[in-house]
Amino acid sequence: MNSFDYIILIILMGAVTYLPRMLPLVALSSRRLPVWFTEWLELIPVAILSALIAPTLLASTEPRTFSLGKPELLAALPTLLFALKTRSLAGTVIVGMFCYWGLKLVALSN
Amino acid sequence: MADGFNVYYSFCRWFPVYCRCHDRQRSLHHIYCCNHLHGKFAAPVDEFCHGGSFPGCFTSFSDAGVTDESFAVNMARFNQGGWNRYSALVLNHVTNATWIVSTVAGCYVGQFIPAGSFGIDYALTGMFICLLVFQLRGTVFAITALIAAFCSVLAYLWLPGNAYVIVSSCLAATAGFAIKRAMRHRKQTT
Repeated sequence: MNSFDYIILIILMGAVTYLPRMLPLVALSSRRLPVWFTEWLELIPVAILSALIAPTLLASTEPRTFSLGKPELLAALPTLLFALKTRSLAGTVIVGMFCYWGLKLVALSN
Repeated sequence: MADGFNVYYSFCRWFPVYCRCHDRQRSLHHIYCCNHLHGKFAAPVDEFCHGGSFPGCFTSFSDAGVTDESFAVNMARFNQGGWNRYSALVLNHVTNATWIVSTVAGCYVGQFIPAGSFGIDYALTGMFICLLVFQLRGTVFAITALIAAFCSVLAYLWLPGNAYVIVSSCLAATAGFAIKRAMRHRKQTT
């Protein structure tokens, strides 16, 4: 690998970062979307967020296996309750971090 | 400018991946797959920003900066109201810039923070939990979240890479949409 290869690689990484986002959206932005599609899109954010979180709480990595009782899941319960009660982003992050940290310390001491 | 950000951002984020695998085709495919997911993130934001009628130049500039975190924060803010396409644009690119600066800073100061201290590994999960709560705006949204969680875990166990997010979120949104239509139909007939 020489310097030229690295520069080509960086340019190609930029292209595959930018084009998949830009091309479909430029095509879509010039036309009015159907109502059913807009309604479907409304549900995408909640679905993506839930899909991103769930495996962190309910599955182990390498190998990927279903796992109940992870500290991540146990810490998620008070974190979720705090978020529902206060709707504070910063507060929820801090509560989540300290719950997780505490659970890890308890697990280490046992 | 957007291209510049993304080339630099891409370099900071993915260069280490490339250095590890020494396989150009594989690393480009990996980056493409991750960014295909971000393309999907950009669609709902785009609908809020432009309502399907804004010129492509703004779209191409703003949506290029979408990341997991800026997507979630933008959607929560749009739903709360008082948030426009310029706010989203600033958020997208400030987030990217912060990511770049933090990556560089992390290389120098990360060694002084013990691994796992203060539950720092949970910060992102905690943030996503709160952003998920912001998105729960009714029964259909809560049901969609539960379906997505179920499908996501199943897909995570069976599918390689990050495909589980795309598959499960599409399935859950489709199921949620069907439930919403069924509820609306039932309400109209009674």
